[in-house]
Amino acid sequence: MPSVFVSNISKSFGKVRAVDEVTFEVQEGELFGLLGPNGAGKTTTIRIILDIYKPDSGSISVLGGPMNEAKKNRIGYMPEERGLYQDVPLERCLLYLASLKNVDRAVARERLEGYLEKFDLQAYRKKKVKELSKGMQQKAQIIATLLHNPELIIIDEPFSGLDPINTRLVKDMLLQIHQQGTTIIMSTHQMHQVEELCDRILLVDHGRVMLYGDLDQIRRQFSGHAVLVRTREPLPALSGVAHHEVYNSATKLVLEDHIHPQEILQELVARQLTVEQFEIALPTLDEIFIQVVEKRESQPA
Amino acid sequence: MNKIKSILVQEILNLVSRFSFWFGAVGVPLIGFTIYAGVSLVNNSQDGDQNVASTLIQSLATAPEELPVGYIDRAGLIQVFPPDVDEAGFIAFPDEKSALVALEEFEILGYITIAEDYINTGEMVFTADQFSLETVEVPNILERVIQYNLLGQDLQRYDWIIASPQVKEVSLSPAPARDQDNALTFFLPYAVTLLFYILIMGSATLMLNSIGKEKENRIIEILMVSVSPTQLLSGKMIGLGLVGLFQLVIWGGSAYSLLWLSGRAFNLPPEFQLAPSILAWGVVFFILGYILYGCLMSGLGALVPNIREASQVSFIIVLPMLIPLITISVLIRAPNGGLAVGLSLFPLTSPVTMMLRLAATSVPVWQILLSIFILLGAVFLAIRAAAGMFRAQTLLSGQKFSLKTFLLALAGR
Repeated sequence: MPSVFVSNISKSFGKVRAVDEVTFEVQEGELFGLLGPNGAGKTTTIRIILDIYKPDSGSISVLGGPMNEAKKNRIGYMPEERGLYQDVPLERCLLYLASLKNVDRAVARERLEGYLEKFDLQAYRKKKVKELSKGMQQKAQIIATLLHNPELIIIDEPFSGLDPINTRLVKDMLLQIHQQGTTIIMSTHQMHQVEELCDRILLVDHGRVMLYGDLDQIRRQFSGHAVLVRTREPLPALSGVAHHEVYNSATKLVLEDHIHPQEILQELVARQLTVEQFEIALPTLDEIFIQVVEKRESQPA
Repeated sequence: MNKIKSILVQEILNLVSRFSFWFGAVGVPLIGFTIYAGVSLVNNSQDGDQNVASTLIQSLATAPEELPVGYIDRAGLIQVFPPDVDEAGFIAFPDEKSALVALEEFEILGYITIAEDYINTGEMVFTADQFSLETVEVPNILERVIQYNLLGQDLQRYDWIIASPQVKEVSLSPAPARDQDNALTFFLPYAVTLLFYILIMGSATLMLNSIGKEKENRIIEILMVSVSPTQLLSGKMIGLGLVGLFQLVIWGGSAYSLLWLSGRAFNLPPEFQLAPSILAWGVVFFILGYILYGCLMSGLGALVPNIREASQVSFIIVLPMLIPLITISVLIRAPNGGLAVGLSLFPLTSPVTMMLRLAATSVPVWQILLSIFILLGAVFLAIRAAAGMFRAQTLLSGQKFSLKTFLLALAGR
């Protein structure tokens, strides 16, 4: 049973169509990437899922049915626009937000101890939120999202404002929570983070679905007719290769249309070269993203 | 219910953790008690029956004149002064010219010309540079002098005439008897009006600030995924209302205690005393007034994008509440007049105006109950309107405030 099922939703603000017939589902326990450039309709889609906005058309199912007040306690949400009570001490602020999710105060306090330790915020528990650095506030925001042990987490740009060490920390934490079976929807435009974390993605642009599905399949779908090769010896000229380019420590061979990658491998073996790497050259998500957006922009309106 | 409780506790904690709150709630009454203690201390060191406080208070109404008042008795009525009038306070002049000279040389406060046919017309002309609290009682005193002489200086009959009639007042709404001409009658209703205006608008504005701050801190989106707009509105309304009520009890209780203590210690006149029932009515009108204005302020808070813009447009809501303050002198002089009754029944002005009337006079119970009934109806409509405006989409819209949108939202469109 999917944790989230979005069926053909549309939403307009005045004359602007922010979401245009979007359909997708997020399976239970999945780490799902919601991608798109700024203004693509990601936040509006999330707000519709969370029943903050009502869709003009279409339907939503969250945790097995329509969204209701009781389900709010089972969802953790970190919006793109971060917000905490600035004039309130950190500990009181986080315990208050947990109490709004119906978490027992003693339980919340115990969990908070662990999170403050993990995020190195123990020394700042009595400080007012406004006295914390941007990075610390970001970590506090993540704690507020996780403190009530939600079944579904929707997290918008989780790594913005974090240094590499804290980015790693948050990434590990998300993976750990994911391994425990929590469903996570991560909205971002940082493609390499999605490549590293997500199994499936939805790419939206101008409110429309551009790509949807398994990340590996999408990459294969967008792979050109090319292979990545690394040999111990210098690579000789090979028949059937239209052109080649250096690609990190390997060489990317773009093949002629009628040539199969297997034929190249056979030729390398036949020439008694030591093959250290041989793989189908898959495009990065960044490359796919640019391809899709450029393709859409080149199409007549 | 748990969530509403969490919200209201948070609102209370946010307020009571501020020094400014305690300064306002407790500091102001403490200043009053300190002044009382100081005056008591000075008072105890005085001899005689008269004490400093009562003399000061009494002086507001009937201050002893520093200069005498002249009179020209064209009717030839004044021969002697009765024993209760100080003869040194008056100087007889043969004509107006000499009295005018004395007035110009500041020898007298003013002069009264008793008309030749006073017995038929009762005409007296009082001439002075300016009239004040000091001069207001002078013609009455001179009239008593004339009455004493007309009665052939018969002290017994004179005492009987000037004595107040033995009328026993029975009021359904018990309140201290007040002299409407007394200056003190003005001060107490004025103070009560101001107190209620500050408390109701202060508490209602806290609603606006609380919502404005949450929008500014961008926490409103997180709250919308944790609680319903109705829970958020209810929690805030109850929490801030309880704080306002606490402040009302502290201020009202302190003011009442001070008046009671002063009345006992300094023999204050009845104009400076309040009926105990005013506190009970005060709580009712504060709660209803606060909910009404709190709902309007929260609706406004939901529609404005930030706290700065909220402050700029909040005058729209404050405006009706200012009417009793603008017309206060008319209302106090005629607390049972048409304007006062009308404003005490109109829900946007009734919380303050009814308290003004209760402090100034005896108000028929049916009028108080009718006012509460109408106010309850308005509160019901305001809650509905505020709930309509307090939607997640409105709270997150960030659109510029428009009066038209606000009025349409109030009308439920």
